[in-house]
Amino acid sequence: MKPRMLTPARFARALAAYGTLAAAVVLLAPLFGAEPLSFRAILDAVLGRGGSVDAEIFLLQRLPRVFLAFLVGGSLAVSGAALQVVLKNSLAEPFILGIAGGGAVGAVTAISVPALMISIGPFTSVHLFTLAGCLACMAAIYRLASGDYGVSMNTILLAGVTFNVLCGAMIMLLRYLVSPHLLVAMDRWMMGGLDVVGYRELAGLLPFALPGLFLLFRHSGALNQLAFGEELAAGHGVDVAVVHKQVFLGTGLATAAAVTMAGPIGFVGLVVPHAVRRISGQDQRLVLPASFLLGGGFLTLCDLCARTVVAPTEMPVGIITAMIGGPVFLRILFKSRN
Amino acid sequence: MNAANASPVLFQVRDVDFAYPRALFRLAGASFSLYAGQVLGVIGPNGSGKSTLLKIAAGLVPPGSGSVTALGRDIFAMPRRERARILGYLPQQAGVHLDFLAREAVAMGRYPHTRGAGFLGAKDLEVVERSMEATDCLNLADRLFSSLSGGERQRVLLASVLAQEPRVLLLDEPTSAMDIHQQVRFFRLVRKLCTQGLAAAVVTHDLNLASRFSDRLLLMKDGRVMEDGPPESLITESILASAYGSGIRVLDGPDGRGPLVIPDPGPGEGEGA
Ligand SMILES: Nc1ncnc2c1ncn2[C@@H]1O[C@H](COP(=O)(O)OP(=O)(O)OP(=O)(O)O)[C@@H](O)[C@H]1O
Ligand SMILES: [Mg+2]
Repeated sequence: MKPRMLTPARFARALAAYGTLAAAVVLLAPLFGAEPLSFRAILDAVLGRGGSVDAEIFLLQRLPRVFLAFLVGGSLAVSGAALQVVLKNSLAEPFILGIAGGGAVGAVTAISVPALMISIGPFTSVHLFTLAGCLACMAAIYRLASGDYGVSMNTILLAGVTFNVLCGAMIMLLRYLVSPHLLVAMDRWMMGGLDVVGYRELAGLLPFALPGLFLLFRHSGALNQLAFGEELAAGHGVDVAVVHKQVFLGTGLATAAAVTMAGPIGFVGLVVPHAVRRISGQDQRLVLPASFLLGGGFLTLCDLCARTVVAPTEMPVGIITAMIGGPVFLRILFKSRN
Repeated sequence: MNAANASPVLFQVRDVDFAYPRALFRLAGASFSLYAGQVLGVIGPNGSGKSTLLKIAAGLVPPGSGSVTALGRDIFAMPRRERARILGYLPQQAGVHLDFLAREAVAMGRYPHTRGAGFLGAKDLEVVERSMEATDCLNLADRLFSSLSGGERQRVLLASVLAQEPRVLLLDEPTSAMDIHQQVRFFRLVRKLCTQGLAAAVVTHDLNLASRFSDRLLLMKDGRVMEDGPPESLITESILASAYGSGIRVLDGPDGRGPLVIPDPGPGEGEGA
């Protein structure tokens, strides 16, 4: 495609296209699943003409799950897109921040020590410990990276990688110590999944995901300016320190929310932004919202596969994102070589 | 500062001290003023603090002490976008991290003039085209920035600074990669902009360009302003030797427009003095 400048008309057209795609996925995905549902019955229930089991499955199980998949996929993709810009690294993805590592330690701890079983509202101890782990990691990295001139993106990258290794070691230690029957639960968490979700979990996630996404979208124009380095961006009137800080906080919050509800789902945050850039160009004002829509749609579809391919059981969605995402990414790489 | 200056002061750096964390280099008591209609050439050896001084002047880093004012106002108390509508800063080095078109790169200079999503209006686009015309890069507009040569990139980024429509230009080695025609073109452009009421500080290692096109020169050495004055009084063998070291000869220009600096190849086979 010939590159062109982003105009309001092109912006609107592109977002409308991504939006239509996303809406179609969100509307169609809940109709499919292990149980075949009657579209009539659902429609009747929605229109207030009496409930049915079909409608209940649709409204109380599949729909919230689809929303969650969409929100998680969208959050990961936007986080990846923004991180790739501020870290100047096209391989950056949300888990590079080490936040997911902290979340994993939290989850594994909660699983290892059944005595910790507590729950607040709809959230189990695994949720709570994952969130705590993510936020603790994020705070630690933020402190390490704060220096004389705001946060250093380089330090964030190094600290993130190191934290991931450290967290990996802690997880190994816990795995070594716990009784073997708990390992299955840990492995299952690591693979990522979107099962067991209701509207309350979804609502509990929003206070983290929404401010995070807001911070990222707010700076999409400033992210463009970073294309030619921080100094020129600053000369053009961007407060680079604020952008760095808020993008880190934004990706941190959005990723923490996603990991808490769905475990570490890989590849969405890496592949989706690259796909969007190939389709729609480099302007981050379009890349960020388009990544949200495409990432949401992509994970919803992957989750649909997870629910249906091996029905009546389920596959961890993380396996599917990697199996689809890996080849897609390779293809993008291969095509941009030629 | 020197002589009676009829033109108004647009920009002032006063008694600026600065040190990088954990580094030996110190900027000490640096001051300069920029007057409407005048070009200040900033020269000095590598590592003398020219870029550091310009970064502080542009508000990228706050000084340890001292003040920087533009149009009489403290630049560190100004909102960033407002500051960028007054100061146009071109860093010595720029990265290429996202693959934008040259025209998009220039359009980025409109950032301080836009709100919200930052889409450009007709007037903005006109300024973008005019800026590209001024730096002779209209023919590059639809090329990817990453595919441009070093000098072409400098012209595009310079256009992006001009697109800010600043009153004061702070340019750090804007011509270091340009051919001689483009260098002359650039300095003529800066002079022309200054006759329209702008003020400019231009860092360069080309002493001839600096002395021929500047109204005044600022000579930096070891983090201090060593000299500040008209080119004729500053471009002498003794001053340049004490600033840079040996190997510089100064001749009277044959066209009567100031001295010429030429490299001294030294005494043939033997080692240079
Ligand atoms: N970020 C930094 N941290 C520590 N020291 C620095 C930093 N940037 C520059 N310096 C040091 O400060 C001194 C002045 O650097 P500056 O870039 O201002 O020099 P300059 O006059 O622009 O040189 P040049 O002509 O090579 O561009 C140098 O000794 C340099 O090593
Ligand atoms: Mg320099």
